[in-house]
Amino acid sequence: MADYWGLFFSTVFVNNILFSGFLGMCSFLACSRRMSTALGLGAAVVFVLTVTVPLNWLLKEFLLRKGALAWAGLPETDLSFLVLIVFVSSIAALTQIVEIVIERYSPALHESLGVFLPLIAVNCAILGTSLFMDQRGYTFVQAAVYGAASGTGWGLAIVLMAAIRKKLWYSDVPGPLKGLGISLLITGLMAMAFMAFSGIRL
Amino acid sequence: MRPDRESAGYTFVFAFVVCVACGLVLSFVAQSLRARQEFNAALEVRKSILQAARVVPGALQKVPLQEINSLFERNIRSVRVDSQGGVQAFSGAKDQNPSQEGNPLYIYHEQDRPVAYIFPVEGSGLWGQIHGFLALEADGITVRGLAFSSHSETPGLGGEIDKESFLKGFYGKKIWDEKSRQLVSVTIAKGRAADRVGSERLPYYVDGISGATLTGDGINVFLKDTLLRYKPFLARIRVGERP
Amino acid sequence: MIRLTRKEMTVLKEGLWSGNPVTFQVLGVCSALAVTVKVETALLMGIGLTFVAASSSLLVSLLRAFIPSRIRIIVQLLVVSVLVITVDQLLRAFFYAVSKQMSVFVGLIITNCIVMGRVEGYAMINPPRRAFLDGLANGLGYAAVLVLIAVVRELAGSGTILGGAVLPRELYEHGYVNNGLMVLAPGAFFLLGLVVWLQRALSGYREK
Repeated sequence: MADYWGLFFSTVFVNNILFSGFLGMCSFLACSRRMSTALGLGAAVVFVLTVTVPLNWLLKEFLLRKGALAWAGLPETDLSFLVLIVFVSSIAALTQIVEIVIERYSPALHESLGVFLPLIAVNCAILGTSLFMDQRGYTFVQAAVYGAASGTGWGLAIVLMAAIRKKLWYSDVPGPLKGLGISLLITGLMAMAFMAFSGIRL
Repeated sequence: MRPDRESAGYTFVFAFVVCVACGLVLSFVAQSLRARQEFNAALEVRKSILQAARVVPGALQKVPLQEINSLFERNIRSVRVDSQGGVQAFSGAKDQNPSQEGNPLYIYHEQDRPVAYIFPVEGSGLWGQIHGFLALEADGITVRGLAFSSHSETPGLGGEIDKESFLKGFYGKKIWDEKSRQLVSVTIAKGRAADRVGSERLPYYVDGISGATLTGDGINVFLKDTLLRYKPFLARIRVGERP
Repeated sequence: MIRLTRKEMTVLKEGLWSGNPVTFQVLGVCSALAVTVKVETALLMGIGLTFVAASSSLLVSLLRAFIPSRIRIIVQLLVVSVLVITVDQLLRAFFYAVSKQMSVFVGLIITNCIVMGRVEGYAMINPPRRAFLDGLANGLGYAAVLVLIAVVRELAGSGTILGGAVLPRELYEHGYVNNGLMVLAPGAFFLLGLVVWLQRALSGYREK
C-alpha cells in the first residue's frame, strides 16, 4: 500500500507530467485563462487518465504484447507495433463515448465538462502517460494509480496556473509579452518551484 | 449519385474501410521491416558487449557491420553462471537461449586468457527500461567498461548515458572494497564525484550527468543488483580461479 | 522550379512567420521543449514533424470529401498515426542510432497539436496542393523555433553545438561554468517565453 502512495506522490509532485515531462502544454497554456475552465478541464483529464491508463494496460497485456494472443492459439504473434494506434484510438473512442453518455444522462455536467472532452483526445499528456505506463512495465494496479496520479498532477498544475493568471490581470505586462510569453515565464518559475520536490525521498 | 455522407450506414462502412486499410498498411510495413529491425537490435547488443569489454579502442561507430559480428565471434565466449558461481559451457544456439539455467555471462578472451568478464545489466531508468553491459577486468574488481544497448531516457539529459565522455568515467573504478572486504558496486554521484565524496571513496564513484540524477539513481540500483547476483562467481575469480 | 501562386506564398509565409505554430498559435509547445537540449535531436524532430504534417495534410485533404463529419477526428488521428508509425518503423530499420536517441518522442508526434490542428483547421477545407504547403510551412516554422532554442540551450548548457565543443578552453580555466539551468525544464520554459516575446515584438502581434 505504501508503495502505491509513494508512486502517487512522486508522480504528482516530483515527476509532474507537465513540469518535468513537458506533456499537455498546449491545453495548459490555452485553457488556463479562466478558473472555471481550468477546473473543468482538470477534472476531465483526471477522469480520462484514470480510466484510459488501466484500459490500455489491459489492451496491451491481452492483445498486443508478444505472446499475448496465446489464448487464441497464436503464441508467436507480436502486435506491439500497433501500440500507438491502439492507445490513441482507445483514448479517442473513450472520450467520445463519455461525451455521448453524459450528454444523454446529465446535461448539467455536460454543460460544464462536455466541451473539454474532444480537446482531451489530442492532449499529449493522455497518450504520453499511457506510453510511459507501457515502457515502465507497471502492474495493473500500479498503472491505475499512475494514471490517476498523472491526471491529478496535471489538474493541479492548470488550476495553480489559472489562479496566477487571474492575479496577472492587474499587472502591466509589455504588449508582445502578454498572454503566451508571460505564461511561459511563469511556468518556468513554477517548474523551478516543483523541482524543490525532487529532494524528497519516498 | 453519391451516398449520403452523414448517414449511419455510410459512417459505418467508411470507418470499416479506413480501419482495414490502416491495418493492412501497418502490418505490411511492420512485417517487411521486422527482419531488419531485429537484425539491428541483435547487432546493437553485440556492439555494446564489444564496447563494454573495450575489444577495440575508441568508438565502434566506424567499424563496419560484418566486422562487428566477426569481432564478436572471434573474441567473446558466451557462458552461464550457476548459483554457486560455477561456469557452464553454453549449450544454446547463437548467443540466446533463455531456457538454460543460470545467469548469462560473456567472457572476452585474448590468446586463451580471459581479459574481461561482461555482465548483462538491466533495470528502470527515469522513463523506461535500460539494458546494457558492465565489463570487469580479469581481477574481478576493476571496472573495464560499460555500455548501454537500449534505453528511453530524455535525449540530451538522461540520454547522455550513451556518450563516451560519461562512460569513460567508469574505466578503472573499483567495485570491491579491499579494506572492509565488501562488494560496494560503483555509484554515479549527483554532479561531480569529487565534490560529493572524500578522496578515499573516489574509486567507487563516477561523475554524474547534470539534469539526469534520477536516471543515474536507477542505474546505481541495477548495477549493484546485478553484481550481487554474481557474488559467488566474483568471489571465485577474485582468488584467482579461471573459468 | 515549381511556380507558386500568390495565395500559396501567403500560406508559406504564415506558417513560417506571421502565423508561426509555436509562437503565434500556441501549438506543439510540449515537444518543442522536450527535445531541445541538443541541436541534433531538435533537427531530427523538426524533420520528422515536417514530414508528418505535410503528408497527413495532403492525405486528409484528398480524403476530405469522403470523411463523415461525426467521426472525422478519429479518422484524422488514424491517418496521422499510420504515418507516424511508418516513420518510426523505417527509422528503426534503417537509422537505428537515430531511433535509439528519439525514443518515445517519435510516437508523441501523433498528439503534436500542430499536426492535428493543421489537419482539422486547414486540410479539411482546402485543396490538396495548398494543404500540403500549409503542413510543410507549419512544420518548418516549428523546426525553426526548435533549432533556435536548441542552439541557445546546448551552447549555454553544455558549451557545445551539435556535440562539438565551441567554447574555448581558456574560458573554463578562467572560471566559466556551464549554465545547468539551461538543460533543465525551467530553462526551456524561460527561453521559449523569451523567443515568443521577441517574435511577437518583431511581427507586431499582440494578444487581445
